[in-house]
Amino acid sequence: MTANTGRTVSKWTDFRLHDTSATLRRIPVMTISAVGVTFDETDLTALQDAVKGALPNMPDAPISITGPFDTSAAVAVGAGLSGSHTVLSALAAAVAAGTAVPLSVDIQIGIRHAWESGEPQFGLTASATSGYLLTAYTVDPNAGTYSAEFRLFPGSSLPAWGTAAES
Amino acid sequence: MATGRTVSRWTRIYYGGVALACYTQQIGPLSMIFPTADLTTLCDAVKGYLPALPEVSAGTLNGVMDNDAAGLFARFAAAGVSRPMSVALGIRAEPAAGDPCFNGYFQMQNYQAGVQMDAASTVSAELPTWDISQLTPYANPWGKVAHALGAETGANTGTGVDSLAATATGGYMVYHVSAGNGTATISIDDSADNITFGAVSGMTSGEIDTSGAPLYGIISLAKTATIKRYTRWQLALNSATSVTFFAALVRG
Repeated sequence: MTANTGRTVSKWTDFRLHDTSATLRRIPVMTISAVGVTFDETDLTALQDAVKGALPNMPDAPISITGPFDTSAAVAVGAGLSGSHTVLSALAAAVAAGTAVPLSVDIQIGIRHAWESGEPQFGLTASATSGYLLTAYTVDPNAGTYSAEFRLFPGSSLPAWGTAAES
Repeated sequence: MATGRTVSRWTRIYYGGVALACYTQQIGPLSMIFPTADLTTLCDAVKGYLPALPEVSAGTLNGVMDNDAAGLFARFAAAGVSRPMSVALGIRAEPAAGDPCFNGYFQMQNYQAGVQMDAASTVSAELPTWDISQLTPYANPWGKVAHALGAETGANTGTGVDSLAATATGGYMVYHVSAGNGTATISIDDSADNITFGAVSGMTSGEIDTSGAPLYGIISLAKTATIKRYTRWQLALNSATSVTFFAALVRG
C-alpha cells in the first residue's frame, strides 16, 4: 500500500519504544499526550506595548501514555503487540537500578490505515546521549490499566515530526 | 500462568501475612515515580531531565467495614503500622506463579471509616510510602508471584517460573504466612535448565514458627547476587506438617 493523505482516526495510531535491550517494541496504548514539541513562552511585554508579546524559549517534548495492563511476551514489531507491563516494568527497574539508557520513541499516525512510510510520525531515534527516559510507571489494578511518563535525556536532540520510522 | 490483560477481580492483596482481598474493593494506584531534575542548559536543543530518587507507593486501599476476626478491622484499625505488602495481579484467573506482583514495605498511614446516607459502610487506608526503617537495597517493587496463597505439606519438586535469563543484580523475596502448625522454612530455588534446582543462597526465611501466623518478611540479597533463569518456591518442614503461605520474588 502507499501512503494516504487527508484525515484519519486514532485507531491507526501506533506507539513504539525501545525496551531494555534497545529493541523496538509496540505496546498497547489508550491515550498519548502530548504528541509534539512545546516551547516555553517568555513574556516580554512592556507597559507601552500595544498588545502583550512573547518569544518562544526552550522547547520540551514530554510524553505521557496510558493503556491496558498487559503481561504478554515481548515480540518483534512486525509480530504484534508486546505486553505493556513486560516492557515498562523492566524499563522502570533499569531506571531504579541506575542502568537506564536513552530510548527511541516513535509515535506513528496512520492515515486511515496502518502507518506507512510517508505518513506522519513523531519521535526520536536514540543514541548514547539522546533519547527518552521513563520517569513514572503506575498501574491501576481497579481499571486494569497503566500510565507511564517519559522525559528527554539531558542534551538530547529535538524530537521532530517526520514521515520515516525511528529505529 | 496466562499472559495478557486482566480485570480487577483477580487482584489479591497480602499485608503483614493477612489476605485482604475479601475486605477490599479497590487498591492503588501502584506507582513508581521518579521525580525529574531539570538539567537543561542554554545551548541544549531541548529540555532534558534525569530521574531522581523514586517514590514507590501502594496508593489507597478502599474496603468494606467488616469486623470479623480475620480481616482489616481486627488487625489494622489502629493504623500507624508498617508491614510488607504484596499485590498480586492474576491474569484472568486467581494469581499463579509467574503472574506480576507489586511489593513493598508500606506504612498504613490511616484507617478511616466513611459514613454516608444510604451507602455501604466503607473504610479507606492509605499506604503511600515505603517504611524508611525497612528499606531494602532495591527500589523496584515489581516482581512475580513465586507461590500463590495456598497450603503446602511438603517440599517442591516441580518446575519453576521462567524469567527468560539469569540476572546478576540481586533481588528480594517477600513472604506472607497465613496459617501453619509448626516450624518450617520458606525459600527460593533457582535453576539454569528448569530441571536441576538449588537454593538461592541467602533467599530464605530461616526457620519460622508458622503456628504464630500471620507472619511475614522481606529477605534481600546483595545487589550483585546471581539468580538463575528459572526460580521456584521451596518449603522445608520441621515440626510443621502444613503451611499456608504466599511468596513473591523481585529481581534487582
